[in-house]
Amino acid sequence: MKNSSYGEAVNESVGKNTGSKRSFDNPRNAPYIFLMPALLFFLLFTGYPIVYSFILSLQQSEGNVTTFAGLDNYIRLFQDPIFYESLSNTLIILVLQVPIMLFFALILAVLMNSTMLKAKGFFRVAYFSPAVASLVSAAVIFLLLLNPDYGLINYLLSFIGIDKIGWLNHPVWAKISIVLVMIWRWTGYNMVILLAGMQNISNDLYEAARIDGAGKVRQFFSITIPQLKPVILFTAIVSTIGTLQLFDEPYNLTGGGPVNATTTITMYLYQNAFEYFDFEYASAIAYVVVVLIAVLSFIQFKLAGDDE
Amino acid sequence: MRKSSKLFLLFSVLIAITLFGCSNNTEETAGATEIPENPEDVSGEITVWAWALEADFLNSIIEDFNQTYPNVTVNINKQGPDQIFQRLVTGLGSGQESQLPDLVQIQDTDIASFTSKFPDSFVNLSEVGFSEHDGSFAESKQEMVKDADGNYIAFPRDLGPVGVFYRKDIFEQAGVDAESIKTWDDYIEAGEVIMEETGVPMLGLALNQQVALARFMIHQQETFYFTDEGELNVGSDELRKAAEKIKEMSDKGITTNVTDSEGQMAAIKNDGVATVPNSVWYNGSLMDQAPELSGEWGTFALPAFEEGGVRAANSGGSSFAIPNSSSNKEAAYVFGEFLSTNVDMEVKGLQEFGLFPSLEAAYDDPVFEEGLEYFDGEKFYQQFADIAVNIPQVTYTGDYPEVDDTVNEEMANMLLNDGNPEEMQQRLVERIEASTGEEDVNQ
Repeated sequence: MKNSSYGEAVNESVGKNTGSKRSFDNPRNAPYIFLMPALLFFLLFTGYPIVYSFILSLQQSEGNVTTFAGLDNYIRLFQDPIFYESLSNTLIILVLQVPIMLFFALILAVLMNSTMLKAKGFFRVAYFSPAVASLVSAAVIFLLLLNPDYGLINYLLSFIGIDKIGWLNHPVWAKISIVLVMIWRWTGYNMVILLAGMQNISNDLYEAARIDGAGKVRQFFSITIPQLKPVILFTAIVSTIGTLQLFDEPYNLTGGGPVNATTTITMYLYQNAFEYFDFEYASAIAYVVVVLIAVLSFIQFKLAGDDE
Repeated sequence: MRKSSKLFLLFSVLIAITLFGCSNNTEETAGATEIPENPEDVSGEITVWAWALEADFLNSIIEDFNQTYPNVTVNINKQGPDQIFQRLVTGLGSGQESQLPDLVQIQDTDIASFTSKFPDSFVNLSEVGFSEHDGSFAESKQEMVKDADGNYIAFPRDLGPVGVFYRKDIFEQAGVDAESIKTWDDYIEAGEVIMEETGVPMLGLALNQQVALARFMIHQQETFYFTDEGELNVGSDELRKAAEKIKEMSDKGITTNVTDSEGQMAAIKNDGVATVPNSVWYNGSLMDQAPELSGEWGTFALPAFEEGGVRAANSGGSSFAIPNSSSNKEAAYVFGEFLSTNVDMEVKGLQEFGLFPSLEAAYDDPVFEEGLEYFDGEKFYQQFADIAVNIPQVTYTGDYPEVDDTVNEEMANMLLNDGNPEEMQQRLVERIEASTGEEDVNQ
C-alpha cells in the first residue's frame, strides 16, 4: 500500500509534462537494481567462462595457432582409456562413499537429537570439525597413519596378526583409503544438516506415535525418515556433486596413484589443463562432468519421487 | 558437501587463461636488447622469481653482483616451484604479462613445453650475445636450454647428475664390494646377496609417483622419449631393455614398493633399502632428514648396460629465462649472465646450498676435491662432476610431461600387475600416440 502511494508521489515529482510512466527509479524496479551487482559478477565470472570454455572445447591449438576442431576433443575423450578409468574411479568412490556416509550421518543425527545425550554441543563440534580442518594438514596425518610400511595403522594391525596392507599403494586399498578419509571428513557436515531437519519435525507426531504404541525404531522409520526426505535428498545431491568433483583427497594422499587407481575425473582435468597445457581438451572434460552431474541429480530427484 | 564449487573455480581459471585468447601474445619486440659497454650504465630495478635453495643462493650473490653493476637493484621473490609454474602459465596464456617478473626460474624439463606452447614468450639470449658462452656448460645442459633452432632461451644454472647412493654398512655386512658393480647385472647379483645376507631390499620404487630409474636407464643408453629431431621414440629397444631390467629386479625380489618420496625417506631411515639411485641433490635431503646416518653412505656411478657402457644420466636442474614482457631486459640479462657464468658464484652455490653447477669451469675448483663427512670422507662432488661431463645429450619436447607421466604409469602397472615388458611397451606406444597425436618412429 505504502509503496503505491510512494510511487504516485514519485511520478508526480517527475512531472506530468514528461508523460513518462517508465521512469527508471520506479520502486517496481528496485529488486532488479539491488540484484544488478550480483548478477553482473555472476555473468562476468561464471556465465562468461561457462560459455567460453564451451567454445574452447571445440578448438585445438598448436603453439599460437588456434583452429576450430568441431567435436574432435569429445571424440578423443570417448576413446581415451584414462578418461574411462578416472570416470569409473570417481563413480566407484561415489557409490561406496555417499550411501555409507549418509547412513552414518543419519545415525549420528538421531543420537545428537536424543534427549538422553549430555554435552551435545561438544559432540556436535567434534563431529563437525573435520569439515573445516585444512585438508593438507589432515592429509599429512593420514599419510603417517596409512603409510604401508611405517604407518601406525599397519603397526597396530601387526599386533593382531594381520599382514601389511598397502593402504596407499595397492589399487583397491588406495580407493578404500580415499573413501575412509572422505567419510571422516564429511559425515559431521551432513550430520549437522540432517540434525537441523530433524529439529523441524513436530513433536506432536512422535507423541501420537507413542500413544499408538510405536517403539523408537518404528518411530524412526515411520516418522523421522519420511519427514526428513527432502533434507536427505538435499544432502544426497550435494554429496554426489561434491564427490564427482573430488580432487583434494587423492591429490594429497595418493597423487592419483598407484597407476591411476585413484585418479578422479577432476584430477584428470587438472592434469590436462595445468600440466600438459591442453586447455581445449580439459574444457571438453569439464563439459562432460557437468552433463554427468546434471543427469545424476535428475535421477536422484526422480527416485525420490517428488518434484518440488 | 562442498560449498565452493571446484568446477566453477576451474572454469574461472580456464577463462583467466583464455580471456584474451591464446593467440595474441606475440608482442613485437623492439629489436634485440643491447647491453651497454660500461657496467655502470646498466641501471634500474628487476624482479626475479625463484624457488627453495636457488632463491636463497640468488639472495646471497646480489652483493657480489652489485660490485660490478652498482646501479641495478635486484629483488628476489621466493615462491614454490609449482606456484611459479602456474603464475607463469597464467601470465603467458592470458596475455597479462605485466605481472610477470624480469627473470624467472624454470625446470629444464618444462622449457620445451613453454617454447612450443607459448612461442616467443622469452628473450632469445643468443641474439643478445649469450652465444659467446657456448661450450662452457655440460653438453647435456646446453641442449636443454636451447630452442629447436639452437638459440639460448635460458641461462643454464644447476644440473642433476645421477649416481647411486649406497649404505656402506649394509654392503659390508653382506660382504659386497661396491667397486665391483659395473653393470646392472652386477647390481642385481649384489642385490640378491644383500637380500640373502641382511634381508634388506636393494632399492625402493615409489610406484605411486614415478619409476625414475626407468628414465635414468633410457637416458644412459644415449636415447630418450624423443629422437634428436623431436619425434616420438617410446617404442625403442632401449626403453624395452630398461623395463626388462627393472622387471628382473622386481621378479628377483630385490625391490620394495615405497609408495612415494616420503615413503622412500622413511625406508632409508629404517634401514629398509641398501641403495638409492638418484640425483646429486638428493644428498641435501639425506643430510637434512637422516643426519643420524652420517658416515654410513658412499656413492658409485650408475651401473652400465654392457661392460664399458655409459654410466651417466641426468635428473632435475633448472635455468633462468627473461620473459619478453620484461621492461628491463638489459639488467635482467646481466644478472642472468652473472648467476650462470661466474665461476666463484657457481662454487659458492655448491658450497653453501648444495646446488650442483652446470658451468664446467667450476669443476676445477678445489671444493670438488674435498671429502664430505656424511659420505665417510668420499670426494662426493668430484664423483658427480666426473658423471656430469659424460651425461648423454638428449632432446626434450613440449610433450615431455605427458609422455613421462604415461611411461611412469605403465612401468608401475607392469610391476604391480606382473605384466611383461613387451606388452607394456605396446600399450605405452598406443596410449602416447593417441594422446599426443604423434607417430612413434619405431612403428
